[in-house]
Amino acid sequence: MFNPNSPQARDIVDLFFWSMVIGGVIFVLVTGLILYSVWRFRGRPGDGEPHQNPGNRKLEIAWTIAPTVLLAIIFVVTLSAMRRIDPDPAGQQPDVIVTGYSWWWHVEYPNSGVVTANEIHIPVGQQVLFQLKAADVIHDFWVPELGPKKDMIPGHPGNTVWLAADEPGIYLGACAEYCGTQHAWMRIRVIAHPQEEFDEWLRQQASIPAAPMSEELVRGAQIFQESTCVNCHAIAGTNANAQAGPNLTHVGSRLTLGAGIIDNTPENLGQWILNPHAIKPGVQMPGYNYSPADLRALVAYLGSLQ
Amino acid sequence: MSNITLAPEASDSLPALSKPTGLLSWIASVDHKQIGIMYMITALIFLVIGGVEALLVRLQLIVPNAQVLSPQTYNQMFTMHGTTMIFLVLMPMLIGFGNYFVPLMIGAYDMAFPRMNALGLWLLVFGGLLMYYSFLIGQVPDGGWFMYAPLSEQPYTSHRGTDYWALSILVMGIGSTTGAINFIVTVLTMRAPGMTLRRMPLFVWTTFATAIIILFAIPILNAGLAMLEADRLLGARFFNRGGGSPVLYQHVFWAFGHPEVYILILPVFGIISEVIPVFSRKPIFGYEFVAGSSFIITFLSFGVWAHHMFASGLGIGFNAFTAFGTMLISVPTGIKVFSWIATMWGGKLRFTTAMLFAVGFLITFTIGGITGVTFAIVPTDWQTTDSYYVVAHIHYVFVGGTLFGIYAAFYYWFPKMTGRMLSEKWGKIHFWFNFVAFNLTFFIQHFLGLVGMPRRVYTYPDLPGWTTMNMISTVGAFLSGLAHLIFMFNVFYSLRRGERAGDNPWDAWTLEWATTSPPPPHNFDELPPVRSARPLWDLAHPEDPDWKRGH
Repeated sequence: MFNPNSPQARDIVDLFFWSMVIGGVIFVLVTGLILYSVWRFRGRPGDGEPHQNPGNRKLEIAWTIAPTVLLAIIFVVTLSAMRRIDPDPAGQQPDVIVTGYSWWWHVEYPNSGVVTANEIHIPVGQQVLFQLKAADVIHDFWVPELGPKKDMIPGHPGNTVWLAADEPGIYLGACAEYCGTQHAWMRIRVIAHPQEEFDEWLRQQASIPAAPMSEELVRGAQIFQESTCVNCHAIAGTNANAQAGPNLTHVGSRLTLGAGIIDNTPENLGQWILNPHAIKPGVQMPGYNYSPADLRALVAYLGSLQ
Repeated sequence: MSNITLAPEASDSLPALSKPTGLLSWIASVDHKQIGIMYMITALIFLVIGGVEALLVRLQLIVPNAQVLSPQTYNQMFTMHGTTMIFLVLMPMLIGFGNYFVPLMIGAYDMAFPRMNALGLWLLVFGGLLMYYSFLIGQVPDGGWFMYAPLSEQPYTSHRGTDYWALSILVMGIGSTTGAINFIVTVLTMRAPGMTLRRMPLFVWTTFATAIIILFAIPILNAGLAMLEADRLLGARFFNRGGGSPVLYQHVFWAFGHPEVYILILPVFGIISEVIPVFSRKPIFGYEFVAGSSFIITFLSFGVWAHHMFASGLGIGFNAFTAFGTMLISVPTGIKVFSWIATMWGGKLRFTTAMLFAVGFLITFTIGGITGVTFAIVPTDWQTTDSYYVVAHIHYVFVGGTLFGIYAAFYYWFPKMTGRMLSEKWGKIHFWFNFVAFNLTFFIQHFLGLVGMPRRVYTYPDLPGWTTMNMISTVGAFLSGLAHLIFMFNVFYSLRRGERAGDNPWDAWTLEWATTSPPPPHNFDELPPVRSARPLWDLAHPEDPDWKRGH
């Protein structure tokens, strides 16, 4: 939140800054009065009783009204900021639909039909409308540098949130609503590109990956299709079209695996397939017992899905 | 006006074949003082348990990717820590003090319903045992202390943890409700002659207000728990798909949950309103405003619950309503803080340990109050909610606020309860240790939240600054643990070696100091006349009594 990278994130930081200034003044005032009293009115042994002052109605009314006025002003500022930061999408179609699963993110671009997972690409300098849904329990989508967080509630049509990035880069986020065993490793990466680069990324993601050419890749594809992988995962252009796990159509182009817990390298992918529970205990995916050669083929095939 | 004798035969009023002795004299007791002490002992035992859970949580977070606890165990620990501290430590501790001191402060010989009072205590004890029995069968609650549906429901939680959690809180909730009725009836009907409502000590006022909140808030929780269990065990659909709504659970839980915050802080406002005047040697500044603001808080506390749900997407109207209520409720709280400072102003301050904790409370609670207002600024809440910023805030309110107030109460009233003073030397060591360690633990967590660390994560990526901040917090937590141990040591030490207290060691002014320490079973042999809120001041200063003073 300290490095805001969008108008709405900056807006919130400004609000927070001013609330801290006002709060800071109040804190200094209160603590100052306390410490002054502590020093000035400290009793000494042998002191008699001080003047018994039971109160001062005018003063009491004053310190009731002054904070009320101050808070009324803060309330008006809050209202206008709410409208500015979270405007009603007014029927506009979302640019990105993110669905929270335990414990990863399903990501769809409805205009282009692109489906991916965990890593969300956006163009810089544009307000992007996110629709947020949940597949099982409540999750919460939070990328602090880009804007506010919103809950994802199962069975509800979906909250919306506007996010944007002024500069290209990778922005980290996380699920903010406790959602079970692996809530900690339900991390988000938002990757902001210049417009042309984003268009190129979208075009590439919309394409069906090239059919495997080498013998090893063909073997890998065959293992994938013949194993229970296809019960949960989808790869466009093949028979695998299940939605229970992350879409793997272009998994080779992603930076991390397991919603951010490990880097996407061939060794890590191999270990993940053999025993995901050793890496992310509680994850829904079971481990598989492949021979080293089969594992190599499968990893090579998945890595080729760029 | 002559002295009035009240109910001298109370000790013989319960028919018994023989007077129980030893442990049985406690277990079978319906005496409000014994019951109060048993509440406090229960709370102290669970404070140790909840504290160990907190230290395990902090130990797991000392470095990124630590493997002290498994994710599952970590989730059980933070769930049980929160549940234990709220329901089995802070609430019983405050109810315990209320039990012990409300009858004494209004000059009564007991609570209105002594047997129901005992029932409330034992429902709490057995509720606590039921909660912790879940460890013995290895199915520990792990859904967080607010147990959001549908995570807490089938099929996402198929073990019995949620059931132990819900049923034991239901049991305790029934106990708290009986306690609330008892406090309300006691305050309304058991006051000594002359003790009009406008002369009641402020601790009695705030406990009375708290009882009203309990009476209206806890049944909401109990209804919610019954609905949760109906979903889990009977296949109902209150909170899950197919007709129900997870948002309904949030409404039900927080409609109880936010009033609960005031259940845990209002009695403390009362304690501070007793301690600061006595050790400033002045009456409370603006008695009517301090008492009245408690009732404004009582009323408003039922209109702010949805500020826990700003990220749920309730729409701008609902959010604005709750934001407004939340800002409004800080006004009566501010009135109290200003009144306490004005009470100190022009006084002759005595820095006993009780006073140190009261002043420490003022400072840390002010921080908690200021960060509280930032949650009412809805867009700010959208960044800070469910992050470590909230964790910092609630601990500033519940530890820097409630627990510091409880410690002030212990140092202030321990002499009355036991006849011996708590050691002031160890008390001061305890205070400074606790004050520094507390701030070391929790202040830094504000920043952890602001840089993006969500709450309730068993570990975190090694991002710049996160490790250092978490390590500082963990070190602070262990020092805090040590501070609490110093307190426990002080209690055991002072029970045997403490200075004899006498009836009124602090020259205090309310009725509990007008009897022996500890008081006899019937509390008072005779009562002084009550003609103001400070009867013992009037007695000691016939030339300048409060009742002659205009306001």
